[in-house]
Amino acid sequence: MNPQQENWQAQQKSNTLKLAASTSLWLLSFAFLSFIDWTNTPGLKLIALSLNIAAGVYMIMRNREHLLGLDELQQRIQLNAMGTTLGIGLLSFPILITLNQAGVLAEEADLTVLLVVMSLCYLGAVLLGHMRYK
Amino acid sequence: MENSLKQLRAERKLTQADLAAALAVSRQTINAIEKGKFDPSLPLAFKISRLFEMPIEAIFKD
Repeated sequence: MNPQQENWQAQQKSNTLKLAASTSLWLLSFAFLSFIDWTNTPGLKLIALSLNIAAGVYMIMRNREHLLGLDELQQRIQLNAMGTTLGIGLLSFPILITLNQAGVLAEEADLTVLLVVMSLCYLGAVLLGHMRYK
Repeated sequence: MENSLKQLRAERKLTQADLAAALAVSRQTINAIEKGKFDPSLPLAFKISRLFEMPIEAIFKD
């Protein structure tokens, strides 16, 4: 294996690990934010909110770095998956709102369902993309 | 777009992994190009051309 490929593979591995770590950090900060009582400890809540935003920005930067480090076929698979997810997300949102207003969904479930739909769609689209170019 | 990547690789007794290593891309990308499922970008086509010491038009045909 030549040094260029070793570097490329090592960089990809490093980018993936950084993305996983930053996503975990963001999830932890979100969990921390969710469990704090807003009324009794507003100061702590503001700190938790700031941490969550900072972790979110860090995660976005690592995600961008990860995408830029992929080769051109992998980037195309990711682009197709993100495009499909965005489209389905946009289509699902008004449907979920209508279902929510009609009382079919639980009152607080609309955004959660949208997140789940988009996550599953993204995963499915990435898998399909890999199968397509297998 | 058709290409003779598989043939050129076989002539030089290279595996897909070897070629992927030389071009700094994934093995999946080499496989997809060989099967005609994916057309490489111009920079990657130039890298392939330099590696096999052949003009691009001798490797890729429209």
